[in-house]
Formats: sequence, C-alpha cells, structure tokens
Amino acid sequence: MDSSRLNEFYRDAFQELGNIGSGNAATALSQLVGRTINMSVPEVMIIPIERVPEIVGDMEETVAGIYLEVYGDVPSKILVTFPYKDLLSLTDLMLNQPVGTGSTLDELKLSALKELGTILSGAYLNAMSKFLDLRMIPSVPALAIDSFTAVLDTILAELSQENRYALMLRTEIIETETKISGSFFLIPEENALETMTAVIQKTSGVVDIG
Amino acid sequence: MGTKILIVDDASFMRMMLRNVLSSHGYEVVGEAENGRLAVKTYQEIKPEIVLIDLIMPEMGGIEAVKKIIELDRDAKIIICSAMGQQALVVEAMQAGARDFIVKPFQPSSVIEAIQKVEREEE
Repeated sequence: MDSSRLNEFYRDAFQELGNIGSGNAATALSQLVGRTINMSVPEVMIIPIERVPEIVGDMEETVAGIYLEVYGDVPSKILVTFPYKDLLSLTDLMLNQPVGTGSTLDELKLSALKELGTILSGAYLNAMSKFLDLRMIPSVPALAIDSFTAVLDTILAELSQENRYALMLRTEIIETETKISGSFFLIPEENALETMTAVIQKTSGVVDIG
Repeated sequence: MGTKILIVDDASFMRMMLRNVLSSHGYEVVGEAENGRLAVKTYQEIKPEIVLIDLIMPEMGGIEAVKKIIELDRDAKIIICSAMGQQALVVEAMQAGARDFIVKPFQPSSVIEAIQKVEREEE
C-alpha cells in the first residue's frame, strides 16, 4: 500500500481514528496531571520511511522518546516524544509539585515518563481497537533521552525492509499554562496498514480501495 | 488495621500513586512487586487480602500472574489496574479470575470503589 492508493475515504477514516484516539489521550493526560490538556487535530500521513525525518522537522533536538511495540492484529510501533526542555515541568505536573521546582530527572520521574507513554498509548490503542474491532496489545515501554534522529533510528531499524511506508499519526499535546508539547507517532509494520484498511472496507461496505 | 493490599506494577511512579491513594483511605499496603513473577512469590509470602495488579509488565504479565495466584488460592481477590481497557482484555482478565478492572489513569475514588466492591463480595 502506498499513499497514492490511500484514497480520501481511508484518509478520513484514519483521521477519525486519530481524532478519537487523541480525544481519549487528552482526557487521560488531563486526569493524570490535573490540568486542562489540549491536543491539536491529528495529522495523518502515509509517507515513505525515508521521508520521515523531513516531516518531523528538527531531528537534532533532544527529546524523551517513549517507544513500545504493539502486538496482535496490527503489529506496529508507537513513539511518544516530549522535548527535553519540558521534561522537568511535565514530571512536576505528574508528581503534583509546583511547576519549576524539579531540578533533576531521578528514577521516579523517569518512571513517571514511561507511565505517561503507556497511558497515552493505551488511550490510542483502546480507541483504535474499539473502532476497528482489532486486538492491539502494547509491550512494556522503553525510554530513551537522545536526539530525535537517534530515537527514530532505533525504531526504524527494527522495521522490515519490505515496509517502505509509514502511517504517521502525529498529534501535538499541549498543556495550556506551561506550554508543554509532545508528539505521538504510530508506525504500522508490514501488512498492518492493509489489515486496518480491510477492516474499514468491510465495516463500511466500500468495494474498491481505489 | 485496614485491609492488607499488595500493589503490582512495573512503574514505581504508579506504585507510589496507588500507595498514596490507599494509605490516605486507611488501607495497609503490605507489599509491592514490579512484575507478575514477583507478584506470585510475594502473594505466597504475605497472603494479602486484595491484589491490585497491572497487565503489561516485564518477565510475567498480569493475566498470567492472576492465573498463577488463583491456582494457589482460588479465593484470591485481584483487581486489574491497567491503561489497556480493551473489551477482549477485560474479559480475558475476568475469566482468569480477576474480580474487577480499573482503567488508568484513574480517579482515586474509582480505586476505592473497586476495593469496596470486592470487600462487599466477601460479606
């Protein structure tokens, strides 16, 4: 499957998936930090793997990347990133401390960041699983603090050579007071995109992928 | 003394959150474990009255741990506390022997209500 074959109908379907997932994730994050969380309308892109860096933007920015595998009917990889400069504010919020009081990322704060990735991913996967009636089970998350290039390379290196396209679902997560922003990416493995479009096709009665 | 509870979660942050919620409501956290294998071992050692357990953990996940604990004690009272609220997983966990299912992130009241519900089943 490539972007030229993903017609407007499927783009709309994936957009709706992104909207529902983002809504769930915003609610989850808001509950976790006790603040109002806004999320941008998700960008849904089907792009060749080699174009991922140019879509992402500043690849040398240091980020915290929480990544995990998704097993089940739609094998995928999930990456949630937050800029390094926002991590202390983010963990202050999660630990219910005044923003700006944290000075180091200790073990508890790193654990909080991983849990944040788990909860945000869970919110997306729960929504997508319900929407598509597919089983999507995450792995234990891993956390890396490095340049975006290094974090992304770790994930892309594990993708099959056959998997030339990535469905990039990117949402900005914005806490209104502290302006913390983060991004969420879902990168399906080989055939996972086909599985999702086949379910959408079946449930909607669409005959031709177009 | 309040009801004795074992917390099982690989995230120390989540164990801390649960410990704070439980302690502030008069429950006694008698043990913590960071994966399913340690949960089974700790259950045998301290025989808690209720277990709060995550699903996705390294070494041994929550559902396998629930099955093993139920093998040891068919009356074990186990509540799942997971970010994964998919229907199939909830059913699988309940079939394995869990009594209730809380989806993270949780309101403290949801945790307390689930525990009280399990406690009432005992009466």
